[in-house]
Amino acid sequence: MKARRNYSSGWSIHAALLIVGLITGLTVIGGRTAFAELRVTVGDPNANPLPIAITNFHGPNDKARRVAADIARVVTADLERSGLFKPIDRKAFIQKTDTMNLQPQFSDWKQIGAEGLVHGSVTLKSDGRLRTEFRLWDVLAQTQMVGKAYETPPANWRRVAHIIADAIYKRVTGENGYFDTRVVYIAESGPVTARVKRLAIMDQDGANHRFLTNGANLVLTPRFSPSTQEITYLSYVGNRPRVYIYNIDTRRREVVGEFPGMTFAPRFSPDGNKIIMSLASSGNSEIYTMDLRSRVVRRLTNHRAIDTSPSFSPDGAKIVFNSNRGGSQQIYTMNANGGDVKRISFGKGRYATPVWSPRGDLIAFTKIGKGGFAIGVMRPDGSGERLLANGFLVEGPTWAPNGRVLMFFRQPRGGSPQLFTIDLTGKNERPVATPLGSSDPAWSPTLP
Amino acid sequence: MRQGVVFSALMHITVAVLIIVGLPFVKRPIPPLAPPVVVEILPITENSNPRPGRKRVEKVKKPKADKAETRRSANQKKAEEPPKVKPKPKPVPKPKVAEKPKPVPKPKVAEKPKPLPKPKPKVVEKPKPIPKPEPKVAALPKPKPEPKPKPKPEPKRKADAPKPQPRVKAKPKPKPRAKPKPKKRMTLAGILDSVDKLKRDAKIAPRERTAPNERRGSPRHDPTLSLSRSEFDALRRQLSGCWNFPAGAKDSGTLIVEIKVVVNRDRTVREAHIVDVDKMRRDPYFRAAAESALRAVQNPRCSPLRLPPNKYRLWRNMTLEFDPREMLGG
Repeated sequence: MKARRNYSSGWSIHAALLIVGLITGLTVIGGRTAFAELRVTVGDPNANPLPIAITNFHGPNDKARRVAADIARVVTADLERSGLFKPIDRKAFIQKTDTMNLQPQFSDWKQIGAEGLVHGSVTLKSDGRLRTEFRLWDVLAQTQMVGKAYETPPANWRRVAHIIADAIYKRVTGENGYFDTRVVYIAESGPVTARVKRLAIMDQDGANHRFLTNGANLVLTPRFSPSTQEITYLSYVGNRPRVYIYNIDTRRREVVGEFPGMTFAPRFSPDGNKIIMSLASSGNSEIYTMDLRSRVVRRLTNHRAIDTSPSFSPDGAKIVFNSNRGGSQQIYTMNANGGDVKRISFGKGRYATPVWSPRGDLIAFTKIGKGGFAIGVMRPDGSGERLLANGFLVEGPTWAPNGRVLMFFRQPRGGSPQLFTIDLTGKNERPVATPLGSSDPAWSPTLP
Repeated sequence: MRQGVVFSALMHITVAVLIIVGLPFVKRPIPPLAPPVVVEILPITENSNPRPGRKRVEKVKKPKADKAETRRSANQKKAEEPPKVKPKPKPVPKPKVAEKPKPVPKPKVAEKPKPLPKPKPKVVEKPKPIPKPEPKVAALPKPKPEPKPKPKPEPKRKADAPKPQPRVKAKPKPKPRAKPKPKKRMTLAGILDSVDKLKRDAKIAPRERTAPNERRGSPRHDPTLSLSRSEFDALRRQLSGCWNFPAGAKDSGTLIVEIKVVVNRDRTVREAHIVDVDKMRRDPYFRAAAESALRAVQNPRCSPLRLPPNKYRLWRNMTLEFDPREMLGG
């Protein structure tokens, strides 16, 4: 018995040892395989636009269907113009849009190469209001990315379309959209010797165009307030150039202060409470700010060279401006109180009209070189200069509120100026349709 | 005179000999161009996995199994034949029952003359196929497996009519080995004995484990332990081609997205999820970048993934890192 017991105990010890050994071995093997998990870095993405299918929005009756078709058309045009989306031709669609209120047949949309899918519906409510719903689907992940509904008077359908396009843009890029915005610009007409220049406003896509001034006085350099629906611009009234503020909603116009010399190149501060501008007296121009409430004027530069074209950074802490204090016209930055002046542009040629991006990461400028003009961007420290568009005369860049697109004007030799937009890649340049010649655009912030 | 003749003759002979024998050596033949040696640069990893010498290739007899494997992979169609072959054995039992319609086998009879003669000696027929696997089995473990392989090949034979397959069954052989153990346990003859056998088995077992990797000739080298540079590049190129990143994003350097992917054996993506879900909730830019990367993984143009099929256990679970920094306008 004893012997047996010994045997069995010896056996169990061996068995236990074996099990322990096996477990350790397995852990080592398992740990090793877990540790060696494959890791692959993928770089160099494409900048191709996202293939998106935008269906005709659904409507219960003819009237609603007409509005629905219009809304889908404007959404499609907005997204297409951004250069980040490639709407797919509706003729290629497989699934019928009237069955879309349920879950989309993702395989049908995958088959035509769509990665995003937009569908929606429009109904006219009994109180006369328009209810618009839309959903954006990720076709590959088969999930809804965003879905919203808006109610508005029917006359506002165009804004609803822009708002939908903004929501889609924001969801896909992470950046705020800029479709629900307006642009003021100088409408030019008449012969070159007696040009009539009027202030005009339109939606960013050229719709809802109207004139703000009658052309009796010369107007120049309109600039939108970043926070309110106000414009500041330069106008010659009685041959005296002065800076004005114009309220788009109330259509009221007022002069910004009375100064001994001439004021020009005005711009709003990011909070909309101040105006920064150039004031020229006795042949030299310096940069000033004026508080719109207290009317307190403050001088920021004091140099015998010309200092002009100031623009605030979006946080209001810095100012970029133009000066020839180094011998040629270059771009400088300084603190909001006028200290710490630094030159940031060092390329060949002259630099003009610097504008700080609303996103803060870039400064847009006009560059004048031997070959003509160019619109470019650089970082606030002057590095990473890139030219996006060039031509005989390209000038006056203005940022879309999301800091991803610029509008400027291009004038061919002996021709009439025309507005264009271009995105930061420099690859997506689009003309903006205007009824007359158009120059000096200013992009509004997103509408409230 | 005579001296002159002799001298002349000697000179002539020398020249003749030189022409016949010597001259060909004056200019050495151009050595034939050796085929370029392919050097694959492997990533440096924590576990070294050196490429082996060729010595072992002949010692280990597993190459046979490998050949079978390569044949299998090369002629996958052939490997898929078994389903077609299955009907063949059925006719074999049929003669036993001698009932069912012969027309079905007939169309294929032209190619099945061999199975037909076999059925005649019904009893003898079974042993015949057995010897065929035997030589191959015999190469490794002659003694014990013999009795047990017999029952096993038999049931499978139905599906294994083609010859290559018995070779492939070199793998199942270990199973019979495992079975002897319980017998000895049953006897409890001696702990030392059992331990010895365990050791012996343990020695054999690792060899078997490495067997599929011995293609390169070394039991230690495992070519499936890492992807080669070109295999990495193929996958990278494929995915970056499917990846559309919204142009002009701010601070694209902070938008590096990690995605954990589970891949099916057919190289399609079974699961893909973003690692940093928290950041995705917080940062709309990151969410946009992450979703664009996810779309690349799920893009039908990138399915199946370009991965070496024989390294499944390596790429079954992967972490893909999408880095948009190289992009213009970032």
